[in-house]
Amino acid sequence: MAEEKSQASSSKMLTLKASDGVLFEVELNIAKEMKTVQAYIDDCEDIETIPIPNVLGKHLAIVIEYIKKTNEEYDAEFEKQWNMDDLQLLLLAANYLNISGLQECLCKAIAKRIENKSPEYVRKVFNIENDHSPEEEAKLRKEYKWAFEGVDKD
Amino acid sequence: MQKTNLLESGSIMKRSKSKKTALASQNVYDCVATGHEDRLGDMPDCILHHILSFMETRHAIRTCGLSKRWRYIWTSIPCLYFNSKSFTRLVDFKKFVLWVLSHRDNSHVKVLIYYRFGVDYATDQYLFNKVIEYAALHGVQEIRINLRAKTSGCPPIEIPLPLFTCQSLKRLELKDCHPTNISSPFGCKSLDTLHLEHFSMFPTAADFSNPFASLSELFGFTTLTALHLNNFALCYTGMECLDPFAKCFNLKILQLSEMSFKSDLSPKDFVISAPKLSNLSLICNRFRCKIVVASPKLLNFTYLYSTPCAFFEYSLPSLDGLIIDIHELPEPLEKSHRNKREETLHGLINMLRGHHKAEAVKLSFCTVAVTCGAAALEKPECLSYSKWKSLDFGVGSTYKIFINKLDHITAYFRNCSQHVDFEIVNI
Repeated sequence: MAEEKSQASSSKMLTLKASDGVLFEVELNIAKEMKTVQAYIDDCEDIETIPIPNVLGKHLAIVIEYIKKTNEEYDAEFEKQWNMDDLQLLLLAANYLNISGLQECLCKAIAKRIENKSPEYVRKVFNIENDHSPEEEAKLRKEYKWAFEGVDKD
Repeated sequence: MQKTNLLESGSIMKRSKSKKTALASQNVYDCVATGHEDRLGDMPDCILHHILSFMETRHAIRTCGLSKRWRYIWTSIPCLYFNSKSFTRLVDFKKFVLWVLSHRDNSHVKVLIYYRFGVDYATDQYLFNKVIEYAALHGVQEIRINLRAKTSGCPPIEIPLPLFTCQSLKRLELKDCHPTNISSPFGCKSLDTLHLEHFSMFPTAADFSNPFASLSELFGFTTLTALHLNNFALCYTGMECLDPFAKCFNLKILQLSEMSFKSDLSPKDFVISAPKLSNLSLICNRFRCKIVVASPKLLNFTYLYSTPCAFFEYSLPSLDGLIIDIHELPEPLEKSHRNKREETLHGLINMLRGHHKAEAVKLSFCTVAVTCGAAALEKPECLSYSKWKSLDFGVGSTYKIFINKLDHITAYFRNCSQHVDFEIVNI
């Protein structure tokens, strides 16, 4: 059973399987950028297909593309292509796969999109239910009055 | 089998190390995909903090009103970002900062950004002290300050002592800051990266021999791995040769931009000899002296200039693998600057002269267009490129326009090389 496997250094390929069954063949050094995958490889040396149960194929494709291309210019343009839903799902994926560069890029992008918006806007975007009573809310607005000044139009 | 806990590194999943099971999952993803859940709310606090740390604190605080869950999340964001430009009145800015410091929980502050743009260039020493003290007490690792001060004619500023005694501080950026407490007995002990922009130094009257000495004392040059200095007017009297980075034993990256020496107070030679330096960038400096690049481990040298520098000299044991990147700012030089063009060429040739021991040299430069037009090419016998096997030209956007002039340069080098197999590779 223990066949000698020839270890080609950087051209070794790995298969990642997304939650919807889509398969991606990636080079080892690309896969290693995902620290979650790296840890998995460290544990199970012989594995060739690694299941990624938390990420859809379409998002895994985007993540892999990012790892291959990332540089300052690419990062600046990267986040502009995605809507808010995708950004959040990509962030969850980046966090799960433990890719710090991508996580940073996405956090920055989300922050930029919500930073000077009203709480109503942010609630709508993230589907947050407002469970404050009107009295609580009025009290908050009073206490944090400077925070609610000069907000962008929604 | 041990469970690997990935929570600390930001992952929200725990997983077990068995070959048989797939990566175990909480499957947040499934409920997220249905679109009915509070996506951002489902993310753990550490991710929310990460997002909020890219906003000014004033904006991040607004999240307190989103829902009950969000009420106090802002109190432990590990970043404080104060920008006085977001406030109509400076007095409001002050009240806000003090309020935040007293209402925040006691968790760590990883990054402090403090930009205070005073109307009259005066700064608020009390507020500055409070903020730095708070950050230092809470384990701050990175501080970025911009006080928009002037070099003269404004009240004195002191950099609060806790900044220097803070053991956790690794990265420091000071812009537009002209402090008076240069003679502080303490210096930073564990700085990794230092970025100073438009920061004046007041060397004591006795110590004009090394204008960088006071910087070194204050910020601990020996621990730095990266140093960026921008927009300094230096004074130098005394010995001819200035070698300020010789004791930067850990320095790997050095960038000097928009530096100059005041009138006649400049050294004859400006030596850059940090022992571990691998990346050097000289950008738009106004040095009139000779620059000696003597860093033995140099791998990348970027030189961007607007006025030509007199000379470069290389004093390096080996140039294998050194990449030099020379660019001129894209402004056309007038004919009256012809002498300066020739000076540049001399500088260039001197640079290349130093490469004669390397086997492969990569030069990437836009100045080919400018310098190869000059008539004063030195005679080949003055140079020996005997070991050169290949010369890689990576030329910038001017390449296509001046293609005929590139031939001059390539012919010139071909004459110089004594290697039969010498080839010139164009990119």
